[in-house]
Amino acid sequence: MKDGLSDTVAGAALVGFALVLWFYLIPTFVTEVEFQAEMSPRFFPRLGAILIFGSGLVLFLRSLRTVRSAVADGETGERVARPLSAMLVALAMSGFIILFQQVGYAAAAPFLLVAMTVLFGGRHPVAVAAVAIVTTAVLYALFNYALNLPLS
Amino acid sequence: MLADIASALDMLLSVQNMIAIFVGVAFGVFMGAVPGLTGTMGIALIIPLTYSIEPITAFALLLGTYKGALFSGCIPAILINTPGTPAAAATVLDGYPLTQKGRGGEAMGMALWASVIGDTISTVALIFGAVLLAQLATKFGPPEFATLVLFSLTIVAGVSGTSMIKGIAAAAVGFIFGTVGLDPMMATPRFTFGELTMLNGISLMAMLIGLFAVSELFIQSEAAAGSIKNVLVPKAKIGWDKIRENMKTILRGSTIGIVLGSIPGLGATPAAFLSYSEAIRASKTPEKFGKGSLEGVAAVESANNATAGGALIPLMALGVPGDVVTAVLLGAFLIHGLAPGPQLFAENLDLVYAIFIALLIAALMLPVIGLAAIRLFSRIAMIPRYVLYPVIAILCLLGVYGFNSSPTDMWVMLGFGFLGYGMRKLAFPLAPMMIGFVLEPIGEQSVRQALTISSGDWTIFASTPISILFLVLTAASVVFIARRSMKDRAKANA
Repeated sequence: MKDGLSDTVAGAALVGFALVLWFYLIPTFVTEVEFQAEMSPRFFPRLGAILIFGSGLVLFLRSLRTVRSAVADGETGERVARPLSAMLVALAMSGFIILFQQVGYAAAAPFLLVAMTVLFGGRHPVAVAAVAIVTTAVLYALFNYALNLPLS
Repeated sequence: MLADIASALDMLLSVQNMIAIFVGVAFGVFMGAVPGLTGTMGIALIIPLTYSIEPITAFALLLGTYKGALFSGCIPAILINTPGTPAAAATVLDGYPLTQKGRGGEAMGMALWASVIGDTISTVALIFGAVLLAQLATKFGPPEFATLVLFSLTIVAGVSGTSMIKGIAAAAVGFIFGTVGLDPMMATPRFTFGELTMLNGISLMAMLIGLFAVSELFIQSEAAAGSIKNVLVPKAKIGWDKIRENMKTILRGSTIGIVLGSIPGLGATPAAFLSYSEAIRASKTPEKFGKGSLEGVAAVESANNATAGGALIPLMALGVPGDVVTAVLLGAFLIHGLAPGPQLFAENLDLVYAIFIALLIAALMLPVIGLAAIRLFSRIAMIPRYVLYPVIAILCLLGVYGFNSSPTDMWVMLGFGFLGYGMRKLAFPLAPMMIGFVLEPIGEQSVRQALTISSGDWTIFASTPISILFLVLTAASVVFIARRSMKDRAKANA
């Protein structure tokens, strides 16, 4: 995605987010309380929404000009090379959190470590197994015994 | 006074106490260098071990941990783009780019010596100015805090890179995240979506690790296996000429750290960002910031380490903790039957001096332990990617979980990882989002408290000399930023 176009999308998304905040999230999830001269709990979220709307709108309008003149404005983002790998890493981490909650650390940690080792290029079965077993054991000992933070 | 100092030296100078300081600093360095573990956690873990030992030995151990952790947060920030502690978040901005350029050793050296200088200056300030600075800190009421936060928000311009509008947008989104949790005045829930764990707001640790470390994991996973070699980090080595060159920045950062550290409620993270922003304003080469500037590392590290002495000023002189760590330390004082404040100075002056001397000794031990820690952790760079990143992933998850024992925080971290990844792809700076997040609760509470005091009269924000000073500084900053922006645009068009 070219910078100008990505800024257009980002600007539009920010404007959209600000509108959702103003018309849905703030009225639904921030309770209005009127108490003497006290400022409303909605004041600061609304201020944030205005700032997001304003900056999103400026970004959107500036990017339109940039797209027209085909000159990139602002920094170049880090290009999407292999978004699938990032998705797989996220999936492995999500799997860890679910397993951690359902069956505990001892099952979740080796799963995550094996998945991540393979995703980051580890191919030798012994190396993959060693990373999984050693890291699981060392972190278990560290958190449970040295730091007294039980990993349930 | 001399008799008290002699008595303090007699109390402190024993092998046992020296070992306690050494172990404390080393343990603090370890806690700070592991993302997710913090100095606060370290101190909390050590307190139960100190019940049965002499108070001075206990404080030598605890304060050593505090100082060690403040410094070592920079190690993973520089090496793997993951701040070890929230205070080291700003170190990432220039530390990691320096590592990518093969100048990680210099970055580490600068971080170490800036930390040592900042720490030593702040300890001296604590010793000589405890009472004076504590009096100044007590003059900070809600209007002064509110105007200080307004001034601090101008930092966003300094950390926005070349697109200020993206920085403002990121800060505004961070500002919204800062409103999550209980309303500071009415205690009504905001954006908690019925989740009890969200009543305390979004965990700063989950946000930090998600934005910086998890997004980095996603980015690194995109590189084809073996195509990116880990950057080799040589020994932390920096010439005195480089330190001399950056001495002004270090002294400025130390001053900012001491002053902001001594104001209850602020702490090391805002101090680090303010110092960074001021360094950009004062630099002859502001364009180098964010791309690997030693000056940036010096500014951040001197400030965040100088908050140690600063934060101890209100704690020791008034019994008011300046931040979370000093709140835990206050608990330690009370556990040992000591009440910090004027009474402590009146009744246990020798212990107070012994603590001050212990702090100076800890500052002297920091270079030795810091160098060893850097050497040890620098080996990270030699570990193959398929070992390093899985370990980082699980450390991030367990670190965030261990902070509050909350699985929700792990999901929050993953969410921020996605957000950080998307922001990096779209060239949005990450630091302004964190600044917005950190400053929103402090700013909102101060504004609302001030307006409650004044019955809704906004002129309260210009009613005291300190708040007027901050308003003037804010206006001056805005003018400066606008002029610089116009100059940059003119340069680009030329």
